[in-house]
Parts: sequence; structure tokens; C-alpha cells
Amino acid sequence: VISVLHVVLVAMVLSGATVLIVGCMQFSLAGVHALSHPYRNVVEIYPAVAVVIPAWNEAAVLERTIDRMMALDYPATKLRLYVIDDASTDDTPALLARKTSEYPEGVFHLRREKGGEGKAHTINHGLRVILGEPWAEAILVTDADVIFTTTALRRMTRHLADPAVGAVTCYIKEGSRPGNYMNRFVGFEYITAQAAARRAQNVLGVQACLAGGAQLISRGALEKIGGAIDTTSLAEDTFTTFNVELAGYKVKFDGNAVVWAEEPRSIVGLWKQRQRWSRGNFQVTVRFRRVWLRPRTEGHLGSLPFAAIWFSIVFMPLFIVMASAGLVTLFFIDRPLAVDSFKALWALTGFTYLFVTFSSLLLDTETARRCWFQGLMFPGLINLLLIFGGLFGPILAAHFAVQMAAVGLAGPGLAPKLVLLAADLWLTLSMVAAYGLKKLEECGRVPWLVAPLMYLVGYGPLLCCVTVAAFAQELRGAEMRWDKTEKTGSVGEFA
Amino acid sequence: LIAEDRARTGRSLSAGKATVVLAMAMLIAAMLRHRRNVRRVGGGHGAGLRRDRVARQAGRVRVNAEDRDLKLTTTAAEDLEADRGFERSLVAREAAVVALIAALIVVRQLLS
Repeated sequence: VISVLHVVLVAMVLSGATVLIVGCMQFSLAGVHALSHPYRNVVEIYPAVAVVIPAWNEAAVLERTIDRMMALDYPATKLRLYVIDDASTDDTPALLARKTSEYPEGVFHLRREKGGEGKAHTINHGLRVILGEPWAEAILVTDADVIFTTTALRRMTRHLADPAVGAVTCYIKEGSRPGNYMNRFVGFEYITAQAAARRAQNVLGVQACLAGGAQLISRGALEKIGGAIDTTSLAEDTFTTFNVELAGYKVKFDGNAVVWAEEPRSIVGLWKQRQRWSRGNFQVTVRFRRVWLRPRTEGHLGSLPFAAIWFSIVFMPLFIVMASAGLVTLFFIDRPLAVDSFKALWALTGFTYLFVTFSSLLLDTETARRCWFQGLMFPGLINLLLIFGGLFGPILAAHFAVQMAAVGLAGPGLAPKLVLLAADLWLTLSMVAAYGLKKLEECGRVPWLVAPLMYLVGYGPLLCCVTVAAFAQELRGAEMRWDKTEKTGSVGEFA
Repeated sequence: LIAEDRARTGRSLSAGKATVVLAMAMLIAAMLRHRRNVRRVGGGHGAGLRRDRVARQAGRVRVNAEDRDLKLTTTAAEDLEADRGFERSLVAREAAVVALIAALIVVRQLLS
């Protein structure tokens, strides 16, 4: 007899599938991106672009960024760099003095004597100056470490030929050379989170976020949202994106315009960066609460598919914990149903894993050559064993039972039950293990052990764990600090 | 196999065989699509390496932008054609992945 409790528990288990279904939806949409005619209204145009680079103690990376920017395939008379020096205390001012004399018509140094208010305030300082003059037709907000490929900017500006387009972003790739295991995990993640997910959002007609390192905004759109970006959150780029779309403009992603950025090399570095992003996402969720699931909202922000994408990311850990709790409870009250639910969930996980992983590897073959192993190990070795155990476990178990029976050792034992219970719990425990890994890296006693354990636990559980930590911070109203990601200038040489 | 299946189940095509046929059809479609894209603008497997070069060769349209600086290396029309080709190739790539997964499902069914 199926009781209400059984239905609730199975629904809890299936909530874990939400993330998987949305993932499959995104990759399916990315595959048919061409059918949405992303280049239909594209025309070669070269608007006057003011590049805003906020900089606080960025001497290690800034020189190369400026040189590369000034060497872009873009008319020199249509490009100006405004480096907003947020009261740097290193060699940044001296470097900028040199660069402004080297490129007198191209590079401008704007210094804030009182710094430390955060990136958004720094950018707004630059925007006030730029919008105070009539020269700029579009504004590109980028970071001091981001290296643009030579054609990236003009690949982005061509979308602004369509007056309905208010902002454009591009594909940011992890560029640290030589990178370590963490860089390669991030490299693979960016295929899924940018190259695939943002193409899918193009198809849906709505973008969740202009990548912070490459936000091209038309002057008209920027002025319509008040000529400044949000300073009250940790996700100023997402706020800008939402505001531009609510102002009636389209936001486009161009996956063929590529820029390179330096990403964290350690768990602790990644933790700081992603905690900031996750807190920003919670802030966006609350601030735009009147937008969700309201189909008539401007810019498709209120559509159901977009809400599914957004909430599957923001509440991913919640869904996973619910699935785990449902499985464990079923284990104790209805073992056969627990086994069936477990198999169904892990079969779907297996299908999603194969679809997402192989689609990603084919979507960006250049990155795939470097990061394929991290792509395969993204969920962690233990989760992979569970996935293939879910798919092939019954077969293997049947063969095993036959062999055991042949030697007279068959029969139900405690071990399989404990394995099943551990597998049910692992969804949640993997996040705890990821937190333990962060602590292990922080203590610094066995640094050689961190990477192997990371492959065991998985990068995905680490991201879920960061989201939980960010949610906890947000709930207790922790201070909003802009923890700057350390940049060392390790981005390789790219065309 | 089909004859054996008919004798055993009374149906001419079981779900497993149908999946095999579907997977093969998708694989062939993906391969044909891949060949067409390679011929056109260098899409398909290896497109990331090849597409700019192929697009340059195929770049029959050159835009004469008067205000363009001399340092531009490829024309915007070439970029555009290459990018369109790459986006078109994604359909084939996804189809190949789906075919692969379908094949794995068939293997799993056969094993059981």
C-alpha cells in the first residue's frame, strides 16, 4: 500500500533529478543554438568603445592586459581604456603613468584617492567620467587580468548593430599556463557553465549573467538603467544583466568571442570566489522576487524555463539533501522502494553525466584536450562508482551472486545493506567531505593529499558545499566583503 | 536477430532492436552532417582548429569598411561565416553524443 509518506519520500528523491533534467534541457538547447539564428541581425560595426578596467594592486597583470587590449583587431580611434585605480598601494600608479604616455590617445588613468569600497564603486567612478563625455557609444567592463583574443571585441560589437540588443558577453576561458588540477576543473566547468549554458539562454531569449570579465553594454542601455551599476550586492554583473533586460533590451552571448582569465589554483581560492558569487545569486533571487515565474515580465526573465535554470543552480544543494534524506528514510521503511528509487535516480544521473560530459568535450575540443580527465572526474570517483553501479550494478550483483552460490556462499548479508545505506547518504556526505578537503588544504600539513582526494570527492560536491556556506553566510547577514582573487599573471600566450 | 526475436516474442522488432536501429540512424545522420559542415566552413570534429583557416579560404565576401584600421587581420565576414558554421556543427555533435548514449543503453539491455 502506497501511503502519502511514500509519495512524499519518492518526490523528495525525484527532487534530486530536477538539477539533472534542467542540465539535460540546457545542453539540448545549446545543441540547437544555430536554429535560433544567433547571427541573424549581426552587421560589422565599430562603435566607440570605452573599456573600463577596475584595478586595485594589479601591477602584476595590468601591463600585459593593456598591451593586449591596445593590439586588438579594432580601429585604434574607436578604442579607449580607462583604468580605474582604486587607491592602489603597489606599482599600479607608476605602471599606469608609463602606459598613459605610451598610449596618450588610448589609455586613461583615473585614480580614486579613497579606495576599498569594492569593485562596483570603482567601476561607477569610471562610468561617471565616461558618460560625462559624448565620445563613448558602448562601454566594455572587464577585469585587470582578462586577456582578449584579437577578434573578441569586434565579434561582440557586431551584435550591437541590432538596436534591440543592449548588452553582449562572451566566452571566458581559463587561461593559466601551466595550470594545475584546479585550473583544469574550472576550465571544464566553464564549458558547461558558459559555452553550453549561455548558448541555451540565448535560445530562451534571456541571459542570467553578463560574465563579469567581459560585459559590453551599449550607451543607451547603460543610461536607461541609470548610468551606474548596482553597489549593494556581490553580484553587480548579474544585477546589470537583469536591469538591462528589464529595461527592454536583449542580452546576447557570443560563444565564438573568446577571452582568457586567470582562475583560482586552490580550493581556498575557489571557495572565496564562489562564495561571493553564490551570495550574489541569493541577493539577486530576493531582490528580483517579483520577476520569477511571471511570463509577462520584460525580457523573458519570468519564463518557466529560465526559473528552472536559475533555481536549479541556486537551490542545488537543497535538492540533493532532500534526495538523500528521502532515500535514507525509504531505506528504513520500505527497502524495495528505496532500491527502485535509488536505481531510478542514479540511472538518470548516469544518463545526464554521459550527455553533459561528452557534449561538453565536443563543444570545446580545444579545452577538452587539456581538461578531459577533470571533465570525466567532475562528479568524483565515488559518485562515478555509484553512477555505474546504478546502471550496471544489478547485472554485476547477479553475476556475483551466481559465483557465490557456486561456492556455497550465497545468501543475504549485512554488507549489501550497508553499502546501499552509504550510497544513499553519500549525496549529502560528499558535500561534508568537500568541506573537509577545504579544511585540509587550509591546515597545509599534507598538501600532496589534497588533489587525489579532490578526484575522489569531486568538484561538483565542492561547488554545492560552497553554495551551502554562502547561504549560511547570507542568512546570518555576514558582512559583504569583496575578497579579491589573487592574480599572478599566469595566463598563457594566446592569439 | 529479428527473426529470432519474432519467433521468441511474436513481434518483429523489440524495443532493444528499435533502439539499435535508431542509434545507427542518428550516428549516420551525424556523420553526414559532419561531412557537410567540414565541406562548407570547417565545422564538425576539429572545427576549433580548422574553422578560421577554412573560413578564410571560403571567405568570398570581403567587406570594405572605410573606417577600419589597417591592423585588422581577418574580415568580419570571414569571422561571421566561421562562427555560423561552428554553431551549425553543434547539432551534429549533440546527435553523436545521443547516438553514443543510445548505444550504451543497448549494451546495457543486452547484458541484462
